[in-house]
Amino acid sequence: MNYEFLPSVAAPLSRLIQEFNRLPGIGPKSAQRLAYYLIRMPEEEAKSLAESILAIKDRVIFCDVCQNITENSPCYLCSHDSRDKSRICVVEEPLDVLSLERTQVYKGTYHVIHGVISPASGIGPEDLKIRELLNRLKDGLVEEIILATNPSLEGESTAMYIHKLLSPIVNKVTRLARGLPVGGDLEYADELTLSRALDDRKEI
Amino acid sequence: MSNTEKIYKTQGIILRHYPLGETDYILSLFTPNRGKVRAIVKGARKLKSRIGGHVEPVMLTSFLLTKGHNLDLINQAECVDSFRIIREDLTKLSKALYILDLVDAITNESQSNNDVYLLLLDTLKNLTNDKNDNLIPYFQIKLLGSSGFMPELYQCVNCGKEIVMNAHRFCPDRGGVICDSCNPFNVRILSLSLTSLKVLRFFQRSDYSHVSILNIDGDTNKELQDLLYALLFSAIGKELKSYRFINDVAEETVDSLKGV
Repeated sequence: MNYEFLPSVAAPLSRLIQEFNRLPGIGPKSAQRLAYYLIRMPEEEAKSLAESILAIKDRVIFCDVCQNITENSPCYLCSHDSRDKSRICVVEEPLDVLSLERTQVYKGTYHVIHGVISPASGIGPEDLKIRELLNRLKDGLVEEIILATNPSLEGESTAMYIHKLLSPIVNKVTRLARGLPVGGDLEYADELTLSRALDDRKEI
Repeated sequence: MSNTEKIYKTQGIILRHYPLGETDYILSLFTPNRGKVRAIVKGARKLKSRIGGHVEPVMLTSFLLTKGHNLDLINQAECVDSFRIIREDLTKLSKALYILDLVDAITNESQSNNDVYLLLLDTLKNLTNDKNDNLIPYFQIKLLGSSGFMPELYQCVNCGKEIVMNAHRFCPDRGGVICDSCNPFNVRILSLSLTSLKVLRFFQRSDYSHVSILNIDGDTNKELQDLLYALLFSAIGKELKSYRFINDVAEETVDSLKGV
């Protein structure tokens, strides 16, 4: 719906509705509801929201080292002394770093490639941050690369591609284990997951 | 089985998936009786999804679907063959992705085409073998034939006369061979060697078991690749990135990315 031609809606409000409407997953109705909610919001809260939107455009950059989204480059994880710089965990998206950090198990560094190889969608290896990963390996200090792309077809092909690229340069290239999720159900497990769970079984 | 039932069962090869919303996928399937079907599968991207591991591309899966207005809905899915050998080998996988991409691009929705289904299934099975020479060119020429773009290899596409030995060229936009005396205006014409013409004719009439034992030299292979790609390009009308990915995974290109 084009609000510019609706005299019953104030012009600044219709502009806001249109801006909300551009966001992913927000349709015209949700856009209207959000805009009318903001009218009733205290002024400080609204200002803080507006400023935070501007701040991510002004101050957020890609870390030169790991390509994660950060305010300062190198980012907190890359510059911190307690992190093991000889290990790099390769992930698809910045949100994957958050998930892995939540485990509090991994103490190495990360590399975000920002996507996966998906020829059907027109995304090839040259569109990802793989060159940057190769640059990080030049000094020869890295001992292990952990490939933590998603266990989907695209994630697997990306992992295989990076493995092929890195195996002559790095001693150890590993892949996250694939198997049954906690709370899963054997009856519904697919043959690929089950066979990999059997392949990688462990003594208890 | 009638195509008007509300709930139906079918097997299908998953050509590709597109993410939808937070946890869903839209799948593009190729089925024996209904051709290409697009369907939604709910919650497949959740880690604990019971269906997610059965609906990845390059899988033959058995489905229970409900017919919808626009897209059908997948109720149940069970993988029949995951082609594990293909998905664990990057070279094979890159070829499989190209094969699926081609079928997706050349077929239309809801037009049943059992020939294409059987060809696709056979090709994926042959790809799991260690030796799969000539499989891609063979698949391309058979796919063109089964989907209504069979190349003309015996008569000139311009004047209709029988092609005589060593007086032939190739015209991808008109879909076949053209004689030396015809020069239609504003049409791209490629050279075609006698060996390539013989190989194309042989591929068109033979089974893969005969094609796989044929040794083709490098130059002829290159010429065939270019001819077939030009032919497919004029049938599909767009560039396929998966074609480039096959070369990307070949050793040399990997080295070139390394040189940074």
